[in-house]
Amino acid sequence: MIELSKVTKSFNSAVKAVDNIDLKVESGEIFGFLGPNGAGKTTTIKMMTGILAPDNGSILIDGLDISKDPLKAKKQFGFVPDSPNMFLKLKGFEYLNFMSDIYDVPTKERKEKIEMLSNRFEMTKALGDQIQSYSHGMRQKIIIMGVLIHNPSVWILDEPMTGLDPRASFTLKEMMREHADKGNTVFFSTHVLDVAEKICDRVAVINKGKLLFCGKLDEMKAHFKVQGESLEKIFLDMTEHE
Amino acid sequence: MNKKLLILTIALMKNGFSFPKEKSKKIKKILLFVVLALSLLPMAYGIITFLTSAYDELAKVGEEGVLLSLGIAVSAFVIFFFGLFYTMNTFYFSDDVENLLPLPIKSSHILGAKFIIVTVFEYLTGSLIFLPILIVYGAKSGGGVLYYVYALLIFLTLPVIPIVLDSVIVMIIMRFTNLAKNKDAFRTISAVIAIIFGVGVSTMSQRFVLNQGAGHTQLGNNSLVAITSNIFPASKLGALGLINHGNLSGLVYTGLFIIVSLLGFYLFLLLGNKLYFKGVTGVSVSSSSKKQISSAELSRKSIRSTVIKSYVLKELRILFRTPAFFINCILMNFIWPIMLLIPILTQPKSMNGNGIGAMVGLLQTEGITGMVFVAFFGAMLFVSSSNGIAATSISREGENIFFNKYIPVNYKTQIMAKVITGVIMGIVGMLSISIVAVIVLKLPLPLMALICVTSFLAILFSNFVGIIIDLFNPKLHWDNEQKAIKQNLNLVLSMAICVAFGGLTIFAVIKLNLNLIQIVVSLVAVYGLLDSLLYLFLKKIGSKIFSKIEY
Ligand SMILES: Nc1ncnc2c1ncn2[C@@H]1O[C@H](COP(=O)(O)OP(=O)(O)OP(=O)(O)O)[C@@H](O)[C@H]1O
Ligand SMILES: [Mg+2]
Repeated sequence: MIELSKVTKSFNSAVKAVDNIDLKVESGEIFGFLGPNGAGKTTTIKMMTGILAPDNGSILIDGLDISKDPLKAKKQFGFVPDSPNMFLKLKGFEYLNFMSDIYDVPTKERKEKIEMLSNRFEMTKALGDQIQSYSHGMRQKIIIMGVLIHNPSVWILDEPMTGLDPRASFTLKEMMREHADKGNTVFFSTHVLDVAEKICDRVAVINKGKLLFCGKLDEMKAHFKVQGESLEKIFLDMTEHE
Repeated sequence: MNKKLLILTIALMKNGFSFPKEKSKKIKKILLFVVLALSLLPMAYGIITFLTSAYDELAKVGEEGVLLSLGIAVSAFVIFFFGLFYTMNTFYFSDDVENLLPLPIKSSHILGAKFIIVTVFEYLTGSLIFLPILIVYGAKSGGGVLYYVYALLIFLTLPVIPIVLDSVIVMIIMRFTNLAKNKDAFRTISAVIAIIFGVGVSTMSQRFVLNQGAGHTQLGNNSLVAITSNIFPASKLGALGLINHGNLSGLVYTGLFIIVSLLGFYLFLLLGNKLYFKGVTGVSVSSSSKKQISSAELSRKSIRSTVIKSYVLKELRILFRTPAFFINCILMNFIWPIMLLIPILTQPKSMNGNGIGAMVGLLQTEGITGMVFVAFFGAMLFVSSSNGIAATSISREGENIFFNKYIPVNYKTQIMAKVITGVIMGIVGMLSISIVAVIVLKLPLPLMALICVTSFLAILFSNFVGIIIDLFNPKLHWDNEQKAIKQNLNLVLSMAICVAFGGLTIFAVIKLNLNLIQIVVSLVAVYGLLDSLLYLFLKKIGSKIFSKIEY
């Protein structure tokens, strides 16, 4: 479960990158966070994960306040950042072990997990190489594996599908579904409306830091009285630049 | 200068020395410069006092010109030595060439711009050594306007030939990088070879000269002059130009000096066009074996360990595997023992008896032990800060600093892991110097062991100081790794502070005239206390500052 209340962040006082956002993501659901470039998605996610401190408001992860109880709250979630260019000098398995140590994964469990994940993401042949030698999609995969290895209850992913091939992207979606069905929370941002339409239980749309809509996709269609219109059209209308 | 070349140079440099727009950061930066200047003041004072008295002594025998020729020679050598690092960093470890190649820029402009960048760095190095000499000589000899004009010209030209030599050495060795499979590793090894080669050539040529001319007992016996007048014969022209600034021959010498330097630069461009671009492309490529790891191997390699151990290991891996970090942070620890060895190895055979012998004898003298002790302690403060591991440990995270903030590891643990990494390499550096000291200088082993145990406090101190400075003002906005270190004032500042503390400690011990036991006890007490205070500061306030760092 993720709860944001009255969260605000501005970078240089003039413009608010995130403006007074209230949002509740329930356990057991996949939640899509939509919005055009520069809308404030990454900024919101950075505040949820403790990377940025909000100017105002509070954020709870599974009931734990990220600014008051940061260590416990941080143990609850796994985070996939929007750029996968991290730890390029480490080898794949070194990175996975490093993440396991940080999140206290026992020896036996981590080995099973590494084998399972590398099979599912078809990365078995890459684990011995430096991440530097990976392609963009492979880097994305190893970061996702690093998150899944410690089995967090909340997943927070910033544009996780970018750069993934259809098979990997399918695997990820499948895993997101499995995770949510076990009563866990999946929160991800995306530009790809098809993805949102297919797998999200609920979505929120953000533009210029303000939340425009939050609810089920059918509700969104009903809300904008454009039944039969493509989601793309709704999205474009909604986030139109005045 | 060509306008395009100028624009390119500025563009390549910009990232390093840009002045922040935000007011709070501006103030921080200005404050940084002030502290830096203040901590360098005692050193400057010392240098000027030393030079003034040296001038007076030499003037008595009518040989004050030696100050200049020696000064130019020493400066040229120091510029050459540091130039090896600068050229490697600027030419090979800044990944900007791949971005420049697709642009319509002449290759000679790229080479020229990089050369100028190195030259500007060298002016900073030169201003520490050469500038005081020029000024003291000018003031003492009552040199007129002409002297200062010549001095400026020679100051500006001096780095050219040493840098040409540096870059030719580096380019020749790096030329073969593209043939290698694991480019990172090859580049690192090449860098090591280039340094050994550079140091080796200067050592050998000096030895040769000294053995040849062992007959006469002139200043030529002075090691550094010999090295430089051999490798940089042109530097003599500069000295002659300055000494004779009063008459026409001064003009001729200065003119010749500049012409020779320009020819050197032209040679560099010619060779650079042939060698450089073939060696530099494909920089950030590493090999991939695409081999499956066996289940047994995986079991062996995925053993749980503590967070702090795992974190330190990660830091070390990155330091060792990133060429720019390896050269500046790891290799640096082995440079000082080599520096210690150069003058010893270059002793001419005929002088062995009174060279090292005398030194060894001196070190064995009763009563000098305390001095040796505190000198080593002070040197360790400097040496362990010079690797910059702690002072750039936050900066090195760069744009990935967000990682440190979302993992469930508290900031105190992360800070300590970074300190431990620096301390480990500091100890490695200390041990390598100790080995040289025990074997070559024949310092007694028990004494050396005591020195090492005490100097641990010095290593701890310099790492604490380093990371505190970096926490306050980390340089996170860089686009290639060498900028995180080479163009990072935090490293300079932490070195300056450690040098100031080292100097102060040595000064205090001499003034107070302590014996060995008193020295050990007071060093342990004072630095034990300082380290504890810094630790508490890091634990309480350091973690808070860390949590506020935003990219
Ligand atoms: N470090 C920063 N400093 C100043 N402004 C920033 C910073 N990071 C983001 N912004 C601004 O905040 C606003 C929101 O940016 P954000 O990265 O959250 O957008 P986004 O929704 O993730 O966009 P995209 O779809 O392109 O990833 C933008 O106007 C951006 O310019
Ligand atoms: Mg974004």
